[in-house]
Amino acid sequence: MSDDVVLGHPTPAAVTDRICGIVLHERVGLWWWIALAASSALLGLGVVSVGWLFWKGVGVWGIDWPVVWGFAIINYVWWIAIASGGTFISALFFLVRVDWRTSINRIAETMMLCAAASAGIYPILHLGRPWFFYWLFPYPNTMTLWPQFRSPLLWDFMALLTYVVASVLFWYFGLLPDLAAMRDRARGRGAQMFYGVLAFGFRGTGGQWRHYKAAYGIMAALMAPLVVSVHSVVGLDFAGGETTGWHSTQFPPFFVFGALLSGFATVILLVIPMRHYFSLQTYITERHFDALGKLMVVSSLCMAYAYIMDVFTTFYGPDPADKTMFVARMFGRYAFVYWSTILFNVLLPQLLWVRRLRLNQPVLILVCLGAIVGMWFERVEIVVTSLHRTTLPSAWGDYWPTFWDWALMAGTIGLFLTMFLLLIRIVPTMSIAEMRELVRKREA
Amino acid sequence: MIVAGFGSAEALRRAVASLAPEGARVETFTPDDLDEATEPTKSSAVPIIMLGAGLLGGFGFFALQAYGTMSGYPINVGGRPDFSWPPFIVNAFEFGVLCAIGAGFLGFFAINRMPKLFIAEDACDELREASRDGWFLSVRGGDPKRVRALLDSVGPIALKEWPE
Repeated sequence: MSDDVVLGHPTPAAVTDRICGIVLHERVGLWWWIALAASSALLGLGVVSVGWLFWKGVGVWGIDWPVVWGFAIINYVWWIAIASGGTFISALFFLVRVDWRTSINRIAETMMLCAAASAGIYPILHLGRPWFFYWLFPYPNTMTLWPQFRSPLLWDFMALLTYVVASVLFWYFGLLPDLAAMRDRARGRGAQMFYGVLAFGFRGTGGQWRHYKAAYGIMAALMAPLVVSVHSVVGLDFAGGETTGWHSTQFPPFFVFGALLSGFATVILLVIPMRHYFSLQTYITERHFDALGKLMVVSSLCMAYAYIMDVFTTFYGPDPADKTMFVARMFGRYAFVYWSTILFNVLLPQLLWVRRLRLNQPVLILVCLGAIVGMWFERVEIVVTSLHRTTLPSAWGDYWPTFWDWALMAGTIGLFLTMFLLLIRIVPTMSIAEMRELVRKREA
Repeated sequence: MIVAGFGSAEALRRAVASLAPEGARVETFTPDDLDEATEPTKSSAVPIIMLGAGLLGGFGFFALQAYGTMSGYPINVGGRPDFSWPPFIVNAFEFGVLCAIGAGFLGFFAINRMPKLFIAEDACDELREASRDGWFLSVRGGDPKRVRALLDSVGPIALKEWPE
């Protein structure tokens, strides 16, 4: 196996031509059109289900007492976790100067953007009266009301708003030199104007580079703690409530661990087909799969620690309601959810201890799909099984999603895939500027 | 105006160094940061702008929350004092980061006077190579003959001269 992050010795010019060429000069394969048709169909289903939701209200979902948080929260947390994993790769690994990050950074960032969009629509939709969502923001109003600043739900609004805006700006800022390269390589007048306007006149002058590098570095340094804070706040949405199974101090790091696992898994699942269909074997090598596979193992072990602590604190603690709920979680009617979580998030990723399996793409795809499904089950476990056995036995109840729950979830998957498929046809799939720098430094 | 391109960063650096005593205005156009290796001490104002905006946003939002809970709409939650400030830190941090990143983004464009979609140097078609693997410079002012002779001595791969 080669440990190189780039195979052979491509020149900076070859790197630029290859990556620009994918978008500017190469025709897309049939696979892209099929994928776009399928994802658009899912997106269409999502639009219909949002329309129906607005028309009828949240009663079209399966939520009711005592399980008042259902798919909207489950899927919001699931998507925002996937997005967060992308930010870790693009920001944290930039700060520690990991060389293999360069090839997959743009894929991770684009994934983050699409997942954040899919996450971002849920908090609005789950409000009973979504048209009043702006009441969450402290603005001067005739009711002289203020939002409750001590509530984790308001923190979540601020954290998500900051995360989505900052992600878009960070992604776009990183694109500037590449958009300039696209402008200069484009042949048609329309493409030249399109990329010319998007590049804002970036020409790589001495001043532009100096300020660009300084700003990008600090943005990355801010994005890394931001993403930890965002997912910690999501954990606090739960931990802040005095609900069985939620009221735990380990929730913020527990949620961040989950974000790592599902984010890395999604990046791998996107990198494998893109490497194949865009023939990027020169730039995405076995080294990348090796490194990402190891990260899967690390984040899976972190999850295992969190699951063990979840059991330990419950049964070591004094609350009988907590213990009753946890027994129901492990052996009740939702036991399959709990054990699927353990299987997919803890046991299956252990395969990747073996180097040969890390480099085996079918195995890697299987483990990553498992982790994404497992992380979704984990959110079902946290939301549904905690609520369905509350402290008051007379209030116990079940939850099953309706067709419209599933339809909206399919719609967000459609939104994610449609956005991603369109973006990889518009912007370079790799950071050209960083890749040029990488190959230049290697040759030096 | 003269626009000249070179095959390597070293050649461009030599050209820039040789032009230094001429008193001409020199601007470089490069596929990567030319200064990084040679002039790491040259600083940027963007970090200071980001720091200022981040602190202003963070402390500003903290003050807004303090005003809202103490004066605007005091409400007793579990017997806590109105100025129960630790929970305010989360929002203050988030808003501070938002302001810092926003200021970095906008500050970069403001300092570089962007967007600037067209510049005089665009008349030289070869300048497009500056976003690929060409190392270019443009020279305004100075004695054109001397400047041209100096550039020729370094060995440009492209050179274009036209009246300003």
